[in-house]
Amino acid sequence: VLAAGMDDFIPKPVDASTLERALLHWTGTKMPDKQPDNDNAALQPTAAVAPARPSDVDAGAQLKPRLVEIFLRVAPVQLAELRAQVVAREADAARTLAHTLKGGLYAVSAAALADELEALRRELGARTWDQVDSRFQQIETRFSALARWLQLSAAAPDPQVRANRESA
Amino acid sequence: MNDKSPMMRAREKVRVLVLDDDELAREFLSDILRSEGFSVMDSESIIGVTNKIIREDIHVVVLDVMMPTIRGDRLAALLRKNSVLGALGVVLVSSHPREELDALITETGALAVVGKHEARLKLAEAVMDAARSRKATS
Repeated sequence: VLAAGMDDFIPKPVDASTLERALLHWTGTKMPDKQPDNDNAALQPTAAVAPARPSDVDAGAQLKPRLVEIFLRVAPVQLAELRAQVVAREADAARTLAHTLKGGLYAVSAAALADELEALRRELGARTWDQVDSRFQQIETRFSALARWLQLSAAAPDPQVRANRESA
Repeated sequence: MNDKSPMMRAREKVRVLVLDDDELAREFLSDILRSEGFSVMDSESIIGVTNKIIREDIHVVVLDVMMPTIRGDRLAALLRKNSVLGALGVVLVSSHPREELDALITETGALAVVGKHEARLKLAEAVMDAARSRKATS
């Protein structure tokens, strides 16, 4: 099934937590560390707590809600496309996508992660696929943390982000 | 009462067109320029852009270097050759690292090239410089 072009596969009977994990993965978000005890727990709304800022986000970042909204809509799709091109060993297409994704990361003040995309772009240019695979895996993990933080921050921004938004 | 600074009043008169096929980058650049006081319009495609520049009396165009239909630096060169638009201010933006931007500046002559990583700090100044140089040549 995956060889036919699917990104993922969930066998029947569908388990709610498996489905949720797949949805969170492919929308660029991260599963909570603790698994819910039952299906009802999985449907509980996330508590609106101020999440810790990931190290990939610049200190003193002035995040604009409109840019965060576009980033959360567009960037996970670009990352999925990048993953597909990396898996297919299409270096030129992957380089273009890495470049685009890198540019978008500046919009949410994630310059450190943008640097990783630049390193990936160089490795794609050199076709050093072992390095590409390793770095892409790291990028996906960090991207998930960033997207999760941006989503939670949109609901419950930490005091510094809130102050920056209000002054922007 | 008008409490805007002379600099903000000067920038309000500068009409800027941001041209970038990527929605996030386009909004990012437009947002920076609006925050800095410029009058900003945007476009995701080069189709009809010449007419828009003339119709809206655009002073400066901000172009992404990597666009799917035409590279921004090549479009900038074409705009420069246009008899009506030759005096248009042009600022290129790119996500390329600094050393590649420097090479691009050499290739494109006097064009300003701003990295997206430094756009918050340098884009407004580059646009204002381009607007001034446009006035000086028109």
